[in-house]
Amino acid sequence: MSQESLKEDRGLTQRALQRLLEWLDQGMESEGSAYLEMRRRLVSYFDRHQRRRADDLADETLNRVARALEAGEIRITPPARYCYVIARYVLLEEVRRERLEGRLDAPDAGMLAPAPNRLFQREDTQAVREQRLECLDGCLAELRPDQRDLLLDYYRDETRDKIERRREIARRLGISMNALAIRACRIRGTLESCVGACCQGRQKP
Amino acid sequence: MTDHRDRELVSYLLGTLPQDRADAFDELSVTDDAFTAQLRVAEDELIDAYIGGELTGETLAQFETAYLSSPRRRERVTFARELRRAASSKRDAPPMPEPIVPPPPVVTPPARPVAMAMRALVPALLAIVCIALVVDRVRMQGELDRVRSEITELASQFADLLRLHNGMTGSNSPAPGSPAPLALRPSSAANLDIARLDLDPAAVDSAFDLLLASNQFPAYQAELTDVLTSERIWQSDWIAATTAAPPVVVLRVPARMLKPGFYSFVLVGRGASGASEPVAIYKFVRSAR
Repeated sequence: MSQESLKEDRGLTQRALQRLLEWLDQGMESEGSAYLEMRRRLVSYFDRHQRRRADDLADETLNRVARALEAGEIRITPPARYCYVIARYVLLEEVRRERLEGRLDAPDAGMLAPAPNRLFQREDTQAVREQRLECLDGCLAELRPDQRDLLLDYYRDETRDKIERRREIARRLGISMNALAIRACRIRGTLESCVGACCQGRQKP
Repeated sequence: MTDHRDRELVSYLLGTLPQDRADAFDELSVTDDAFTAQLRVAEDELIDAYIGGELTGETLAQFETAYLSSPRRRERVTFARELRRAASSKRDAPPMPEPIVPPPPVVTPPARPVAMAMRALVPALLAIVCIALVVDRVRMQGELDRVRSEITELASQFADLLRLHNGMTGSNSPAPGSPAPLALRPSSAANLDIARLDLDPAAVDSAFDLLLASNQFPAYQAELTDVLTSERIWQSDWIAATTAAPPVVVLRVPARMLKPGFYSFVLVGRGASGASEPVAIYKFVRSAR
């Protein structure tokens, strides 16, 4: 398990967590990566539905799945499909809860967009920016050299040259442009997780 | 992936996709590996287009009001900017060195002739040790590559043997007189051809050879989708490619699945670590006969 750590809920036993990991693995030894991948998908799902507590809701979903597993209640396969069904319930409950509390209709109050011209013209403090850049450098150095080279090569051109460059990289690696884009996206995701964790002080690069 | 699909993914990310389609995408974003990978690529490209100033009009407005309404997604944009800067600033820089652990400080005794000679030898000894370590590392890497390629080769040979065995025992083999497998090349800008499948109405199944540019994974899985409805209608087991040149993933699809229409196979490869990633898309039309 790399950049993220497994979240252990207060109400979830170690045994239930272990069982959940094995169930998500579907017979393969993923060492927790199947869990982290599912959690990442759920966080994105809740985030796209404008939920500010996307992380908490993803954990709540997985905890419910773990409890259902312990109780032997799961009939739906494959595991991802069952996780999605539970996630929908969790989302509906969250929306209903917020409405009852009179906080909002939709989307989540915390997600209301600021004026566009304020979005990225806010200046982070110098210290924050430096910390982010240090984290980025550190996390880049943690990548395997071939991954780092591919990523920097992939994103280095901003003009139309980039298409030709990427075509050349794909040719060199013997893969399609589509497969190359997915590979670069994966490495970028790994790097992004590392930088996020580093900036939150959860992990030193 | 088609332009239409690209546009749909962008609409989904911007919250402008019709509700029924968005619901379907919601489910796929959690349950479907290939879709999730494509969605992430589309999201990265959308962010890159925004920071590159390539978004305009309604798309730009939607991006700023809908997509950027989430703190998490704003963080993603900040990260993308920094990554772009890092890539730009490092493009002319020499390769990043491996992290080096500094040697412990050497306590130097008072200078004496023997000690001085030893001190002169220390850098040379260190250099020799470093070279030995580098050579050893290169050798181990070579060994690792060799073992990896042997495993891939064995997996492919196993697949060939299995095919041969099936052919000899008659199991999983086409009925006498069955047409030859339909060879499909990956769809790409260079290959816009769409193969045509003429299927005998009496056929039990239909064979396909999915041609690979290179055999990079020990196992592959193909997913058959009806292009017009985006409905997934069939999925193969995890199988190895053949050792033939070019390598091929051999499929046998029940004929009852193949009504006249437009289909695509999404081929996914699975590495030794268990991680899977899309390899290529193959398209064909089953004609009405």
